[in-house]
Amino acid sequence: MKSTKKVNLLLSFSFVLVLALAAVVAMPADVEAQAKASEACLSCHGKVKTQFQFKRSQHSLNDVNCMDCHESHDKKTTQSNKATLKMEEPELCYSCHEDVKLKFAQRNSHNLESGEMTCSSCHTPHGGPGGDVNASLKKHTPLAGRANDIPNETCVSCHAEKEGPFVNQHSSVVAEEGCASCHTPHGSQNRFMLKYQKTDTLCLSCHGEVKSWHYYYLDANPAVDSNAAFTTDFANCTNCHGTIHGSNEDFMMLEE
Amino acid sequence: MKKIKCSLTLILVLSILVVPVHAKDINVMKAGTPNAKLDTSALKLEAVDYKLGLRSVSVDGNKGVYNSDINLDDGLRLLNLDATFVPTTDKADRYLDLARFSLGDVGDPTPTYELKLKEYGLYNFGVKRSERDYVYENGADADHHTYDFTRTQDSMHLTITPEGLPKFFISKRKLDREGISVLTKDLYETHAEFLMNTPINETSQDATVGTEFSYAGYDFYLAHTQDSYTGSVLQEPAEALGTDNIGDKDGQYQDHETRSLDRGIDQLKVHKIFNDRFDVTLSLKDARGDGAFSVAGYIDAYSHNAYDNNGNLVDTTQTVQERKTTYGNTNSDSFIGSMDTTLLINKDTYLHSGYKSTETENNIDYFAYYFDNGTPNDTSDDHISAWPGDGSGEWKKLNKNFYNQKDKYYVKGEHYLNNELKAEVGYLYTKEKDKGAHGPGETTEDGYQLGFLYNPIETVKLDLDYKDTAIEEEGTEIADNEEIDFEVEWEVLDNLKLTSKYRKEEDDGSHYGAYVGYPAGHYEDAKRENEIQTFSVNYQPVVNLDLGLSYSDQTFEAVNGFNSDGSGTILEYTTKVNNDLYNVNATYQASEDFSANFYGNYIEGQESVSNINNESFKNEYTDFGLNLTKAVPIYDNLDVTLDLRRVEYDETPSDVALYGTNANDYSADIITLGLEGGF
Repeated sequence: MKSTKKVNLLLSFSFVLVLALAAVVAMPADVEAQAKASEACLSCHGKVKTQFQFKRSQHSLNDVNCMDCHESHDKKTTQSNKATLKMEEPELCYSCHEDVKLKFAQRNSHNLESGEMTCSSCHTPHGGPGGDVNASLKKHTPLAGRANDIPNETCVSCHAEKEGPFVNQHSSVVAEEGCASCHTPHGSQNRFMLKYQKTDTLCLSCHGEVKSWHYYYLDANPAVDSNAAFTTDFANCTNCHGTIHGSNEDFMMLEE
Repeated sequence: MKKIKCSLTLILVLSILVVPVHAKDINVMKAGTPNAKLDTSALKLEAVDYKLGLRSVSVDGNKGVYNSDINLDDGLRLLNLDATFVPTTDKADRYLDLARFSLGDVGDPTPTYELKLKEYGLYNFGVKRSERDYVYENGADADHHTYDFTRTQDSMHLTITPEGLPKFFISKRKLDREGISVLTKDLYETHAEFLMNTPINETSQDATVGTEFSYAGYDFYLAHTQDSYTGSVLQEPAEALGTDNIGDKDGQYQDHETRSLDRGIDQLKVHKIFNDRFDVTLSLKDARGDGAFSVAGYIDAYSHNAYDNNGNLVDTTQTVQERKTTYGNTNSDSFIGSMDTTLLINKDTYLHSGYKSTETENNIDYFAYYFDNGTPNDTSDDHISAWPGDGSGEWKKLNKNFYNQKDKYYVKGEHYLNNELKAEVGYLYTKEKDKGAHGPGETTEDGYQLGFLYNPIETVKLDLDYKDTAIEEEGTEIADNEEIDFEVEWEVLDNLKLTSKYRKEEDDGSHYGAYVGYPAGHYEDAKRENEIQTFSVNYQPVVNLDLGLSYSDQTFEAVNGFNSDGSGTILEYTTKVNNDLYNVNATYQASEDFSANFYGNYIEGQESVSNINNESFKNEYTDFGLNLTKAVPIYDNLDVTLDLRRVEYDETPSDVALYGTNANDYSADIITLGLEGGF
């Protein structure tokens, strides 16, 4: 580990501890520690790993508390198999996340209907480390490189073949949003759940220009102005760039 | 990193050893071993729930596109079966409270098989297999691949939770992907006359063992995971594409690539609440992976010079055929450490803060072929794989290394001003360093976030979150990112609820680009904008009728300003996708023994590229249906169901070739007559 990293780590931990100690010292002795509705549940269930981060989760910060999703122990009226949930996933989640429900109604999406997977296959409703919205994803990783706060590990836990590392790595896999740079996991009008319906539109969204010979297929005006339409075979970049997630064979990720 | 690794492993081993040592004195622990043999007569069938379906499918239009989207066929299906067993004797009751065997979607592309065994307060055991068949037949599209493969996931978990002792858990998962990918057009020069078959054969698996316990007020979680991936891709010519020019395909062209990755992952989490006020979670995760790969084959395609201006193949000698052979080893190590805290300052105020550090290092050693004069066979800097030349020369070891390190801090206050209004304010800071082929070097991102949650009256809820951060690269601001979330919920009446949501993310100048001939990094002339508006109504006009309507307008727009021709001019253009999504639901419980549910989804999708042709693509996808359930009078708990479903896909024909054609359209009627019940 780099020495600068150790210093940063030490400074950060010191910062948090000093902040905490200062607040504890300054705190009145008779403070009431029951501000949130979840506190009573967490006094027992907070000892379980999955609830360690609940107080800092997006749900808690938006005042979504235990009893909004769960029944109490003595009131298990639900048919859900899972931990006294008021109803099964994804219906429970859809009851607040209508926008996500609509995304799943698109032409292609991860299959929630069959029970092969559920919302909580990828998400942890009780929060995770990091203090941002990505903390609601089940797994976090630096494994794929730069995209170390995004859901690559969540995705490659099933799609392991996309992980690499590759000698020639597609930058978008490790940059910015990782897998979500190109894919919309909640659903898409595209068969491969791409952000755009046409593959070449997706590629053009980053690769504003490509070598002009890609356009020789144009019916008219095969000009060097590469800001033009792809047609026929070149309308799908992955016809030739078939190993688009990464390749050990070719830096342009051409099909083997 | 090694010290942390050793410490984690040691703590984990010691913790696991603690469990059996303590468990020796506890009878229930011995008895609770889930593998203990059970006398089957000690169990009785408590309940069976089932659903059978007889399905009829009628497809008009492109069946291949239907198969890619829906892939449901005619026939008799076991849609669901749950069989629950419970113990009948005291002895059996000591081992088992519940056994449940479940099947789902048998005969369809998504079958599941599951067995669960449970003794409440002692153990929970389950095995599950789920499969999904993927078919991709692209119709009149520009993609010249077809796919037909199955993903199979087998999983097992066992959690032992003896009262007063540490929880122990073990789980195992195996994922297989098997099938075939076929390149259906003569994109290859050497064997243009053949389909190119690529069998898919990949396996990944992981096993986790760990424990969870509390000691002296501290809550601990320790786990070790071992995972592995192996893949082998062999591409070779298959059936002839036509009747002309069919040569001997055997041995003329083959491309073989293998890859593997084995990894060990250790995790430690510690949680503690001090004085009921200060909640701290420490989390450490350390992963170390080693892999290997080999490549033996060709890159084989026509070059641009092979075509004339009308796209006709005129010169078959102009190819970019390159023989490539290389092999190597990979190391992939990473570490994540974080500490998050929550301080309850008083009953109205929380203070959250945290620090997270991640570190990744990928190292790849690979071998390239060099000529006798010391120059690489491939003289292009970009061509980092290698291939043998004329037999002379030698293999040399090369290396690629990628290192990334990121530090994140956040402090966030959460304060209830009164019973109606809560405010949040926070500060975020991220510093990131990259070394290697990807990444901009060193960047920092910092900014603030604000949030308000307001309940002016009991039936109205307003929730606003706003975040603004700036990215600096080497001390210069290169991007400004803004996010806004706004939600209004209004229970107009007891039976009428309106919800509206608005979300917008705007990344101005922060687009990360990697263009040929240019360094990867952020480009200030670029922009990303994501905007979603959603509106929902839920209405219950009478007690036995529920109505729901949702609408969402979702837009994603990317603006690029980039020119790689060296002229200095900027060619700004926009790619935009704009989908309108509608959902309606109506559930009517006509009587105790008859109910009806109608649902409908309609998506109007369109996208565009603002270039000289202003290409645009439009399609519509409709999926609606009616589900009727009628109880059979003379039987208890037996229903007849009728599910009527219609799916339509429609592309708007375009003047630009392949940007929309009726040849891809289809409509399908799927009718399922079902029998659902239990005993």
